Amino acid sequence: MTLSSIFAMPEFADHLGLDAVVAFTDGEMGLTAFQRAAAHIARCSQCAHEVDEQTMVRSQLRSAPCPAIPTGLLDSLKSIPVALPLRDPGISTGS
Amino acid sequence: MGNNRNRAIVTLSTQGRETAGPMSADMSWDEVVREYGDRVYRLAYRLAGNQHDAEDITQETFIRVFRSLDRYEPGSFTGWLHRITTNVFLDMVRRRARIRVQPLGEDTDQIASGEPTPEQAMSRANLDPDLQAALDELAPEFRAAVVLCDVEGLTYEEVGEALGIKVGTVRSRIHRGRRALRTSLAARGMDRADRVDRLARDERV
Repeated sequence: MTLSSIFAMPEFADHLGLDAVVAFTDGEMGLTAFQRAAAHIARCSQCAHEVDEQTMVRSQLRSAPCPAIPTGLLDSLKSIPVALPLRDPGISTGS
Repeated sequence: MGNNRNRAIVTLSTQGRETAGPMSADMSWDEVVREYGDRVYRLAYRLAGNQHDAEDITQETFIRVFRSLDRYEPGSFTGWLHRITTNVFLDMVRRRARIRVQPLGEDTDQIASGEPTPEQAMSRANLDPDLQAALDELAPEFRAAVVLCDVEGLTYEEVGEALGIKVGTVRSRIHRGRRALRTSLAARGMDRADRVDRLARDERV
């Protein structure tokens, strides 16, 4: 097996497909596909850049702070059973 | 008394089934709200991009949950919540899209996405404003896929279940969604730098 035939991966001879880029980023690949993709990325700056781009946005979203639920809303959620009549009048609510 | 009633409802609706999720426990409605309220709200917030809509979505989600407790299939309760929350959000977006086609009446404040109200501006200040603005620009279906995956940490399969789409579609929505976010964030970054630049120049003059 020549060196070039090892690198000529049948699934992404030139570059990783979009599906592979995103699946690689999220670790949603089988081991074999993952290893192939990793080998490609190691020597292809274009694909490495695309994976970086996906990773960057993902970590930005993951680490961004988000406000907690307002207390007033929490209280009104708790009162839903009192505020809403049950749809089926046959259901007993216990005694 | 109210507590007894709530507890009775939840137990009643899950009894006699092999429940594997959190609902298998004898959870009162209060406990369900305490346990999942925050999570639903955060998801709603990321999807809607403002406090007002996030509150509406959260409220509607819990009403739907309450109404369909008797139809709850044993399984992942959080998965069920994700699905309902996302559906409520998408319903809201579609309803507004329909309304927008109508001639504008007086009550357009909620529909137009013009200047944020002071409240919205306040709540946005807690977040990365560029990030939320970039998210808001994404088409709702793409936003939902990206948020479920990146904020909620769902797998592709779970995202697919929540949105009722195939994993292949999930992949492409996430890929394209993130790419659009990246472009938008970069543009905002440059725009901001540009404004600062101009400001500095103007001050010098």
